[in-house]
Amino acid sequence: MTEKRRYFRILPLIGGLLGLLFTFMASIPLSSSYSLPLFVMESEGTLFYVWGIVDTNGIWHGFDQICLDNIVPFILWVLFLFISICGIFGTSYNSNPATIKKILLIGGFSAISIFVYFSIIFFLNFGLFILGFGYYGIFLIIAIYFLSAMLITDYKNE
Amino acid sequence: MANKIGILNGILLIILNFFAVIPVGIYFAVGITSFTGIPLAFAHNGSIAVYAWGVVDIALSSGNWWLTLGVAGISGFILELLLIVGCILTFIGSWIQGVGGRKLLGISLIMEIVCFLFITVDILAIGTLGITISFSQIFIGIGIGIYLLVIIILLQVIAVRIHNMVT
Repeated sequence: MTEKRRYFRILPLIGGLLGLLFTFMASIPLSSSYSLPLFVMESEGTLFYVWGIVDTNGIWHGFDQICLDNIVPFILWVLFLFISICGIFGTSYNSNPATIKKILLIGGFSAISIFVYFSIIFFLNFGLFILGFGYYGIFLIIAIYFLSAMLITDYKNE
Repeated sequence: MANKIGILNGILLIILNFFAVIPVGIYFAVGITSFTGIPLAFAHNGSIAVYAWGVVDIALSSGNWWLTLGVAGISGFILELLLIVGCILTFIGSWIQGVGGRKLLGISLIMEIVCFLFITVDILAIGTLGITISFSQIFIGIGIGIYLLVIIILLQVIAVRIHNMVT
């Protein structure tokens, strides 16, 4: 009987790539006329992304320079990048399963902290914000990371 | 098995060596464009910004690679060369297990530290890279490129420590 070989884990890869999409992109083109916006929240035409803010006039506020005004969003962005890299690192099949599980759990808990941060902003200003695909996407990443961390024991027992 | 932190470090070094900004908020309009980006300048004073690959004058909307600046760009070119060689050594060292790989990663680490010291001393005191900033304006004048270089050095230390010694 030939042994079934695995080279990488697919779930953390999906989670990591999804994280990278939210970290760097504003929208995903689905067809020539429609693209899926990746904003986390929206208020009166102002879109709040993981990487910055876009006004109704199309003016953006990003991280041109690190100053006190944008230090919290910048830390948030770096944390999200870290979460994505955790997912990519978690794909490694031949590494020690305990280490990979730890990396995925760290990524998952970091994603929870960002989810809680946006939830607090949303519920403190209830009715002012509309949630976007980015908010549900963060929840999806948390679910993927914890599910893949749970499944690692199954891989080991095969 | 390859050293993953080393490979990540190599990718970061490529970005630092060849990019002006890391684009964020990417969207597809008439091509690929982005709302904003993270500039990778080591330092900026007025309209002039110094990168690993050259100098940009925002007021004149012109950018120059080190060698196109002539003699004035020699020190910058040596700096760029050191970072590129460091990047190549990092990639090769990450793939080689044992003492050889660790040595290459160590040499790359020394190169990165030399570059960091050279840039900070030059920007603060000498000015051969094109600009100088005073100590009082250090946090205004220093760009994200320096912070990225510090992160690269820290990651390289981790990569050297965790490198697989079993051949």
